[in-house]
Amino acid sequence: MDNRSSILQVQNIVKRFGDVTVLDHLNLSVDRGEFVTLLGASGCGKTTLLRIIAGLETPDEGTVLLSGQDVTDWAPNKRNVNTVFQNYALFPHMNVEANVGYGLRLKKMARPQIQKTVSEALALVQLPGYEKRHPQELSGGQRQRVAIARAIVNSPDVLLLDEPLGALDLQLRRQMQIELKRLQKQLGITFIYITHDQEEAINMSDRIAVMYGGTFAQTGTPAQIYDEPINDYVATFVGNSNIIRGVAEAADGSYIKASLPGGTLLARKGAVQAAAGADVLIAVRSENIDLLPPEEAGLPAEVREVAFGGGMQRITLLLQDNSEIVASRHGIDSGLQAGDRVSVYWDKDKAIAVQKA
Amino acid sequence: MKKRFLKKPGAGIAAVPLWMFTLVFVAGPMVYMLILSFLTRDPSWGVVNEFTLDNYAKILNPVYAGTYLSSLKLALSTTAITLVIGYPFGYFMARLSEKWKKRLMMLVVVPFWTNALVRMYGWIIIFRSNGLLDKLLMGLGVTDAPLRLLYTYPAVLVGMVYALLPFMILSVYSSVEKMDWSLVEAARDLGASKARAFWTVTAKLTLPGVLSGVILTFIPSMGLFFIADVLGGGKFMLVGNLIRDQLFSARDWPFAAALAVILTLLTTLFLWLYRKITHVRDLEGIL
Repeated sequence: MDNRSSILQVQNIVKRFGDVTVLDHLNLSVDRGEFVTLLGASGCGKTTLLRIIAGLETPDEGTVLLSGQDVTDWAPNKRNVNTVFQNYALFPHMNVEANVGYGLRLKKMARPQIQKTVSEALALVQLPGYEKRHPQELSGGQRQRVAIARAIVNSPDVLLLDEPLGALDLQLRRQMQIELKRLQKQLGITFIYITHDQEEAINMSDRIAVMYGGTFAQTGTPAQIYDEPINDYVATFVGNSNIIRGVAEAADGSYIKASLPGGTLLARKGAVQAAAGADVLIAVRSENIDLLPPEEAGLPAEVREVAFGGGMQRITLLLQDNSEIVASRHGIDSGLQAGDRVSVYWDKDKAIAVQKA
Repeated sequence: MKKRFLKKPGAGIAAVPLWMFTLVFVAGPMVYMLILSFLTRDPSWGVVNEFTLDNYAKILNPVYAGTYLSSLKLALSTTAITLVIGYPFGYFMARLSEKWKKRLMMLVVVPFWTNALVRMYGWIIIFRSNGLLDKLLMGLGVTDAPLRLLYTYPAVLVGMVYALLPFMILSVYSSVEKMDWSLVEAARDLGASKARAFWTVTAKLTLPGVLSGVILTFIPSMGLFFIADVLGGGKFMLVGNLIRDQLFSARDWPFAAALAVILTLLTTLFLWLYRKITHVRDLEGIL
């Protein structure tokens, strides 16, 4: 990647806590103004990586470069990076104005200038006139906004956000997602955003890095991550895909012909270079599974359970190798019930071969 | 505090024993002392029920007024030294691992298992001429003659600080223990140096612990008299000593009562001033 435009580079970062390797030789390069999301389940090391970038944690190996400068051993106060903490970490003994102006006071900015900058920042996060309130008097969403204002007011090179919307209810979350994205575009600040919510990641990011076991399972645009998952972990974590085991029969251009339980179907090759006879994993999302009458070509399956939820009917199917997959249909009545026999089929463009994570 | 307490239904009735206890053992003696301070001493024994202000007039005598001043000076010095030693101690104790916290806590609390007077005799062994301290210093070649520390003002001060330090340590400890350290991280993240983050965040948020520690140190140090006796050799007359002497030796109960009333008022005045300057609402549980 071009060094001149990359504002943050993380190179070969290793972090161990005791015997556990939390981060295992991570590499990441982030461009100026980019919105990068670290997506992963809890305990995958994403917060540790963020803390290393902020300077709150020291890596055992590797370097952190900010605007091309090695800042690995710099104290957090020396880095032009600010963090929006998961629990907001607002100072309870200061009002909103003092909280937001904290960084500016340290920079010895003149008092009237601070007041002006703070009220601008508060207007930006839709909290105009909240200067004299105390954090204890604010709702969760408002505290969140103050925490964001307190960070962006310092115009950092990189803004780090550690699950900033984690504590908010769904509706507020959706609203804040849009606002944050707007803010990021407006200010042009580089965002590194942590979440375990794949939908949030896909909605907001320019690029997603899926973390798994202290490494990046896959890095790419939301479309790449969603449509071309590299392995079964990304396919299930991001796309809620079904994974079906099989054996490669032949490769046919950009498709792979896979022998699956009870039949043979095509899928996109993806990043997999499976030779004939090799084991393959096929990922297919529940909404992309067609259920045909049993006499048609496909994988024979038995309906196990039909459940309704979220405007969808979820049909659990048992394949011939006793593995379960889930198909989904819009609407309340799919005309299927437990015990029915069907044939599982998919369009060859709707399934993809993936590696084992 | 009070409001929340009263809101609970039935709390009034449940508090009756508490009120009774306070009335009988706190308010009662105070009122008795106040009344006593306006009565006249009986030349032979006890008091005569005859109103007088003489007892208070007597306090204005420079000899007695000076006693208050030196008591105050000792109490303030004791409190200041206790704070300077106790804050870092309590702070670092709270930041230790659970295992070491417990061990250190034991060391802080263990002295309470022994009578305070007995512990003061321990200091005599250390301070007296050719005592432990002298032997150590002379053995190391730091000094070549006994320091004669016993029965000096520094000896009394050391004894006071020693006796009251645990209260400061435990108060600071409990407030540092409750600290949300992500706030310090936030301060550092926003550009504060370690020292700056400490003064703007940690110090402010642990202030309630400091304030309660100061009060728990200052109040007793105004009244403690046996330390001045044991380590000061009777050379230092504090209000506490004066009251005791008037009560038991001179048998002037009304005057002793008047001295005690003034001591109480003085202490209250100081706490009120203190509360005025510090503006901390968290003290409501203590004051």
